[in-house]
Amino acid sequence: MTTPTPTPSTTAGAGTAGTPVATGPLGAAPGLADGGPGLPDGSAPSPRGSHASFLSRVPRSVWPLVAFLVLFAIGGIIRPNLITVDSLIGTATFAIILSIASFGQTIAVIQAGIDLSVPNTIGFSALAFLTLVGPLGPVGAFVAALAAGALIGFFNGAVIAKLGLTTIVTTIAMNGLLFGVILLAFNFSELTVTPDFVIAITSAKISVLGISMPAVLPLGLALMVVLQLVLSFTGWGRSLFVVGSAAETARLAGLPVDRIRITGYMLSGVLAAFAGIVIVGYYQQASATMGASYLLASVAAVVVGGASIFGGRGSVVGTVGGALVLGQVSTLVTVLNLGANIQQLIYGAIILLVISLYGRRRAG
Amino acid sequence: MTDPIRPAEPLLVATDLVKSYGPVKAVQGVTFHCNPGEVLALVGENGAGKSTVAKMLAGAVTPTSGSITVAGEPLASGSVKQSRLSGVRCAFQELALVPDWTVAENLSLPDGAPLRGFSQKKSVVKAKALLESFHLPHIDPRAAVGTLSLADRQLVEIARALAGAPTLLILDEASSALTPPGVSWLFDRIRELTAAGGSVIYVSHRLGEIAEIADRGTVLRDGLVAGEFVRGGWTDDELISMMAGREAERFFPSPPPRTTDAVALSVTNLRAEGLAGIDLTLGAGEILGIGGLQGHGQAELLRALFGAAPAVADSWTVGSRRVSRTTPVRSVRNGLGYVPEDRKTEGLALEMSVGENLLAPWYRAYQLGGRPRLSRERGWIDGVLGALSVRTRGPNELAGSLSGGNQQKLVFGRWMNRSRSVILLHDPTRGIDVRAKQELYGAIVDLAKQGVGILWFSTEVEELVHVCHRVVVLYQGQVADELIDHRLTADNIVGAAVGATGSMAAQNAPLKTERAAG
Repeated sequence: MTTPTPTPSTTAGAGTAGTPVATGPLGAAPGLADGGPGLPDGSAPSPRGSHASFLSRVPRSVWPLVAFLVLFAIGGIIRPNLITVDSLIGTATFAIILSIASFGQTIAVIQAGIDLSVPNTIGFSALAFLTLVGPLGPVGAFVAALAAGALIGFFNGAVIAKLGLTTIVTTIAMNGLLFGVILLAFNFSELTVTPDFVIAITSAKISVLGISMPAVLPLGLALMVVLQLVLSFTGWGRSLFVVGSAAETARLAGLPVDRIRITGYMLSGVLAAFAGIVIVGYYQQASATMGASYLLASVAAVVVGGASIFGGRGSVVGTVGGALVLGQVSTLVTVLNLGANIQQLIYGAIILLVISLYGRRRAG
Repeated sequence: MTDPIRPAEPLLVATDLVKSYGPVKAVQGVTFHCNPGEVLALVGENGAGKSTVAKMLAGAVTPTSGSITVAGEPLASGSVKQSRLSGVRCAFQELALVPDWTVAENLSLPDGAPLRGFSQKKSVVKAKALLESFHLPHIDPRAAVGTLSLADRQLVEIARALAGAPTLLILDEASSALTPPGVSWLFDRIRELTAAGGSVIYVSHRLGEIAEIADRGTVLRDGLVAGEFVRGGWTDDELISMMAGREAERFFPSPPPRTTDAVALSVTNLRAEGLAGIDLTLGAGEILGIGGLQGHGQAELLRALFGAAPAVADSWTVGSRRVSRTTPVRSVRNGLGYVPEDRKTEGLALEMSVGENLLAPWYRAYQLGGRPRLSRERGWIDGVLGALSVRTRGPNELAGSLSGGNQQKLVFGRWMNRSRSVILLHDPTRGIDVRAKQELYGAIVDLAKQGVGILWFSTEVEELVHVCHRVVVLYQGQVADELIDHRLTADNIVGAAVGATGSMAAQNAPLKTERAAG
């Protein structure tokens, strides 16, 4: 099992690798952007060339998957022995853990927000879970950790919706506050034992269709399906998109905007807390800074996954695609021995690239 | 229209000014001139092009074509600075002051060239002297502009324009927030300026003020010059007719006969920001028009009634239900619907589909949404799209790709056949083509036939005259007049909107005497 570590490495190769990441979604970007709203008034509607209209009909969440396949092929060209099921599963496992950590971020971004408290929510819930396993038992600790995530999300949402503070400031303050709590509240020396049932749903090997994989992979995919169904086919999910797309429209249509926002952040917090437990189960370790690398990575996965940073657009399927792209990038970084610290740099570059290409603010 | 060569060389000559914004022509060929020492009034209804003309003179807006000369020199268009150097100063309708800055800082703004040093102390001393020379000692130069009353802010804005000792002063609705003593202060300043040979372009719709201060005037309508007048040679009625125009009758449906006396909405002494106590009763199946010039409380009234802005009233009922304070969520539950002003940011989620935009108010957290909901509601969606003749490729097309008129139909259509008792319309036909307008008129009349009470704020007077049962005209946040049957005419609506008739005339004594004089 070639499991990439959460922070693999590097550059020159990743530079070339990065290019196809962008060009995949890019080919379609003009079509998608033009079909979109908010053109300056009076300008022409989207070009109706058959080529452009075909591309614009392809769902946005498909493009990161295309980009992933391109990167996978590139990896294969560089090292033919990378084209194996094991390698694919390794990358997918890394990606699915990142995805789980990014699902909450996706929900925050869809409602035109962002949740920068994801990293320390992950850390807090993981440490709280391990600390509470003793007194409450594994299930009690599990529920308590998720409840803590919900509470964190509730505070974020309430401050943003009711007090009208900006999401970035609110959630980054929450992130700092949580870090303080983590350092003050937990006794790290005692946190070693991971409950069996958490291992069973994460790192334990199971066989699906004759292929051995860690349990976290089907778990993450199942979570993706459930969340996507909620986002696409429930009144709550669609209301979240209306709020993200045009908050004033939602308010004047009589939607309970504050409640939708708060529940959105609560779900985001619960998912980040769940990610914390999954990460504990998979890597079987917890530390105060265990969530740090997910700050940039979760935003990158969401953005590469086709969500608009200005809200109203995004999907968890796309986020998994985005995470696969990032996972493959980190695999390539490792394989090419480019050094461990370059990965964050690449993620940052990818975010800037993707946002500047198709995330620009709609005119006006 | 006017001969630019006169015994006294005119200070300002504007020839054939045209300004178009995309396909919309805000000003389509306006010619006038202004002599030294003269006060020229520019009058007209909302959207007649007054403010656009004023901004072109000030250099804030570049004319699409046409020329402006000041003292024989062509005015470099599109540059406020150049206009200023030519001696043109402007006090704008929307106050162009920085609210967080002090009065002194704001007053030194035009001259505070970025490269020069700025001294807080000196600016305060200068501002104090300036305010005193303009007889405004009550304004503290150290106060932040945002803390002043609206009237005082307006005075500061005017003082700032005057401080440049302009040869041509443009006052764009500069008296709109002033109290009567403020207005007479303004007139004193204008007389000082004209006595010194300066000219003033006075943009206003207050007939009383125009009668007092204007030597001549030019009436604009739909971006064209509708007529001119000179001091003493006009009456309110003539001017109002000129402003309102006598356009060829367009097709408007008649309001349906009312079959019930039931009250759909009633409110007494409704107070909110911009509303100074409004009594209103809307019957079931009634189309009640709201008229008035921009900024006299129409938008605030609709928002207050829908709960989009905080408001209180002595008594407030929707149907038989009492309302104390409301929110949009409660209003929708109570049977209200609202078509807001800006369809792009307040009416639609442009990145979402046509069908979902129609369904937006009807999503509930625990129910289905998205495509399953669309197919379940297919009958209703097709019914609405059909009834309004929305030109779309189907419910899954993005709302953002529809034309403006069709977008407006979506904002309206979401309230159709959803057991609404009251629908509030904020100028739904603004900026859409004639065909779409007529389709909306038809839909509005149909809703009224079903017994829905319709409160319709329109900036188009003809709509109010022809499609409404009754029209209430607002002036300064109050009901100026209520027009029904034979009194429901374009002239009466415009007259009430400029404060020339009904209850407002009684409150506005100077206005009345001027009317007699005129």
